Amino acid sequence: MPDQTLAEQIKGIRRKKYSSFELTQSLLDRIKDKSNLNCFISIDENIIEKAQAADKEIQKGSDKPLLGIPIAHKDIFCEYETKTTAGSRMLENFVAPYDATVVSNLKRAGAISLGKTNMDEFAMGSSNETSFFGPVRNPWDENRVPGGSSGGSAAAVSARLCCAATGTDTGGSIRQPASFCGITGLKPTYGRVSRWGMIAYASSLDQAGPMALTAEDCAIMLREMSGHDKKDSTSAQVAVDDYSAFLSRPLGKLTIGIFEPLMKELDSSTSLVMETTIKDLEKVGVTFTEIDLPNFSYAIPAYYVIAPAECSANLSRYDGVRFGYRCKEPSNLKELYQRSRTEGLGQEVKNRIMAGTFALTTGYYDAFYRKAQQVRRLIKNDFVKAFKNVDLIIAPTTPSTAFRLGEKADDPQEMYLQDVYTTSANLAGLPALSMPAGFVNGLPVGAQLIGNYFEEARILSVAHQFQAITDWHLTSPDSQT
Amino acid sequence: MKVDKKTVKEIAALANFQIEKKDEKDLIIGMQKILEMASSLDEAETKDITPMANPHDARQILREDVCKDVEHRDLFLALAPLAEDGFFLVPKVVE
Repeated sequence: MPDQTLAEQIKGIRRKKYSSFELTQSLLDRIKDKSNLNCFISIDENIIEKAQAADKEIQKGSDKPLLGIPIAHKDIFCEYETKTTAGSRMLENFVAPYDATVVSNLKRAGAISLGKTNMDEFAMGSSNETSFFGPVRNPWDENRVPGGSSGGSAAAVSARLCCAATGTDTGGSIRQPASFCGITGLKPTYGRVSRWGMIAYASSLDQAGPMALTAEDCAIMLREMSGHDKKDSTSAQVAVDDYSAFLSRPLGKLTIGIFEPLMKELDSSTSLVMETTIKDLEKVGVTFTEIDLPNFSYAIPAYYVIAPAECSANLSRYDGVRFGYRCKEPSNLKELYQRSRTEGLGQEVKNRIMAGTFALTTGYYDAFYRKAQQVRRLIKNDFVKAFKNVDLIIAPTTPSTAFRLGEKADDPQEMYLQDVYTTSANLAGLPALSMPAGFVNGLPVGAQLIGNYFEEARILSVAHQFQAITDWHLTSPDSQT
Repeated sequence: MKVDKKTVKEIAALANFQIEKKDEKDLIIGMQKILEMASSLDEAETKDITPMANPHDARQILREDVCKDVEHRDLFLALAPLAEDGFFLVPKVVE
């Protein structure tokens, strides 16, 4: 059962091949066996009761689309009466007083929450090594990182500890770990999924999305996660597609753009994976054409001004007064603020808050923050122009396969370059998916499909048809050993 | 842009951090790396380009001005590390 996809588990439960209780119990056993991966920060203590309650609903004939399916939530989503830590000491004991909209939407669809997955602290990191709760290990090679920041979700799905999980993506945090762990992950259009109850990192970039084994599973998850939410003024008032219904429709005359300079940067093995992916996509009827994205190289510097600037404002709320970590015996109010923040937040988070605070100070605002926002528009304009001639864009997801734990920990700049192919979609607000496309030295490699605004259905459909003629997405870490 | 101890101290004060001597070096390196990357933006031609704060250039929407019963005082006070008689507790600020 744990090896099955979300679509298969839905059928398994509906057709009463097994109960939600049996499925949940088997996943809990597996989570225990794989505890060395450190995928979960917490497991829901009431999960068995929830599974039994779901089984009763099934007996009564309920047709909720995800009824009784155990899924995991990145520990950045508030869940009522559940510890929600964002991977930080600051929120180590924070028990959320309400459900994030993503959580309540999935509950409404019948899903049951297995637990909260490990992540880089406040989603700041590309290796899961900045988590206060220790790093997650990559199921393909436990000496390697799973990527980040949604590393716990990616590793949990890859290790078959759950069939699907939620993630968030501010600069690549769904797609990069999906690539490193050999799963499928989608960052939707900015505003497609509500950010209410999702702990903020950089509000104009943050977007929640599904992580699962297949594009078909991501389509099922996205349908339930999406929609306008009055509680999030940036959530889009755009109708939600029936993504599953689009999956197998003929692609028609579909053109994918290639920005050649991105392909030329790759090492020969990864380059071969991308070439093979392009050939496979041609088999399903896609044609390719070259496009130009002249400002693509500015995405990383623009991102590393805008994201820190927004995080410096968002994380000012952690002051030791209303919730979260509070230092012991402060002598005055200023010391309470300063020591609570200094002791409660990790080094990478502090680095980004400091850089962001600097970028917003008088004298440097125009040179850094305003300039980055102008470059952001140039990047968006390049994509808008490109999408006049193509339906999708293909790119690598990451510059390498999963690296070793600690390998880049002392070199933040090297770590930041992990996001080189992913940040531009966040800056422009476009949807983008990473799908398993092959292996290099036994480690998964992902290929990225970037789509036009609110065209998640098209991305998922192409990925699904690619997955119909390949089996990279079904190869599990266990089958390799 | 060269980050030095003075800059780090000034920014730390704005960001409400207490910087210990042993952390100064890491913070200088951390900030320096980010700002070095940012400096490459100088090469981009941005004359007459309007800054973009939101991917959809969306404006803040307003809801109807209707009062709703959302009294959650006890719920939120329960999250506080220290609270008493319906108030958050902080060190004394007025003698």
